[in-house]
Amino acid sequence: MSEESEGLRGIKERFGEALLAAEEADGELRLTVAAGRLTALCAYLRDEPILAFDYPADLTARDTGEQLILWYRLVSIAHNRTALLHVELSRENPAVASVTSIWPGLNWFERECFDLFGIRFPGHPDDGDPARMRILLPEDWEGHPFRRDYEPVFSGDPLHGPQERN
Amino acid sequence: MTLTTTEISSPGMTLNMGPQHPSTHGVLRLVVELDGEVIHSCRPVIGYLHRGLEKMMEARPYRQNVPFTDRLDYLASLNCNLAMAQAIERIGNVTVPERAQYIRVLLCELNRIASHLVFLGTFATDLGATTVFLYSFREREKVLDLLEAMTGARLTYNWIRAGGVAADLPEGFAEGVRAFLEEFRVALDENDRLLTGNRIFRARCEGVGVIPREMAIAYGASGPVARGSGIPYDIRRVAPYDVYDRMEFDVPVFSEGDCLARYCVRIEEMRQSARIILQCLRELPEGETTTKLPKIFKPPPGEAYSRTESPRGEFSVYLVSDGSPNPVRVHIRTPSFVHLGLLPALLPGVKVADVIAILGSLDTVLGEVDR
Repeated sequence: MSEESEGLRGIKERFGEALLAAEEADGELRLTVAAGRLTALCAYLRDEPILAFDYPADLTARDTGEQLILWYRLVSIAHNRTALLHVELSRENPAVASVTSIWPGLNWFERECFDLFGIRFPGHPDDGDPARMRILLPEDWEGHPFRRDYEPVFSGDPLHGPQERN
Repeated sequence: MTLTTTEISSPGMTLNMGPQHPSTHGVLRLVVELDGEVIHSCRPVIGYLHRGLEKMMEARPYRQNVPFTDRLDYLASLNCNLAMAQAIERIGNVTVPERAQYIRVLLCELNRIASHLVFLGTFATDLGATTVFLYSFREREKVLDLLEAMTGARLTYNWIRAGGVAADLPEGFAEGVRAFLEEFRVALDENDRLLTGNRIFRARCEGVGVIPREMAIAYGASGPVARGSGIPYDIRRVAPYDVYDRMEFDVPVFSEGDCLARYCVRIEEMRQSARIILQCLRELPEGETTTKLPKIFKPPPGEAYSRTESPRGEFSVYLVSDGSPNPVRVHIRTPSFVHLGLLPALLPGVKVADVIAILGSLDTVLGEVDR
């Protein structure tokens, strides 16, 4: 058996009940994990030598209308392999533990997911302070524009931008 | 009379660099806490150029999204075009004619040279060597003339489209490129004599802003920043696209991790780009330059991800389709965004004057940071 399948087997053994989906396609590991086990799985993915996903390439989210899906893309520099990690969150109070302690490079990506989708990341250095979490939008912005139900509020004054300010 | 000395404790100072500061290369604001002239902590503030491009793209048919990408990394817009075009092709299962693939690689490498020449000029200017700017922009002008002859534009090309390229090479283009590369080789050697060995330049770069290998990996650094820290990570090599797998080129890697290493990577990369361009011209096959896409292009539901190596690093586009003519989600991973995220970890302990050198060596473009 190839090394890859060995890696996948190890993940399945360890996280069996927390994995909602696990497959290998086009040489890529695709996992869907329960939000509660995310940090444990991430630490395993990074530290297990046959996986060694030490490089955080990308993190984003999308709103399907029913739920929010987080989309982590990891790279193993040593094995030149990629992994895709999905976490499904409810649209009410979405929150998932921050993985910045595992991959500090995802710090700004998590801030972006908060800014645009309103997903909270407990454990993130700026969590709990919306003004510090906002990254692309002004710190006093209200709402999260990439949510399907977002309604922009126009102040009518171009100098004030799209939102009314007090 | 006796002199007494008293300890003067300074409460520290907060310094605002930018958003209107020439050395930040755009609208970047750095809030820096200083202890004397040593940086205690740094918080980059971005978003001044945020246009919500990802959101705008959701409201438009796939192919109309390519011009937006010109406004991301405006110094290398062809590379951005390619990433988006490639994502659209993947999601719609479109194959690109071979000739178009060669032309794309050729154009992207020309654009990479132009982009690195801007880096060279601005980086040297940041460090006080203003003359280099004139030489590097003289060379860049020639690349822009070539690209203008091809696309009609000098900055926002919108030339690489989903399915291929907008049109074939104009007459005399190959000769023009060859003539330029001849002169360019001389100009690069000239630059080596002018700048690379310059003592003042080296004193400002060597050992400054060292990004250790582990840090570069954990922070997701890519492109010349990663390769300047000893990581041989180049998407053109690790996950080749178009005809890069047929090209012979080296991936320059320097292990020092300082500003000089990043500078050397880019200088060497320009030489490698020239090699790739010559191979493209030599092997360019005859044939079509585009695959016609249907007027109303509706890709099947699904996701696509395209990774490309832009002059700044890993530039990726993520597309989600629900079967309608517009994408339901577009996400663009830009290298400059990640590299600015390095600053809070990189700057503490550094002197204020070195911030300019470090920022210049990361070669960020705020258009792609803020999107």
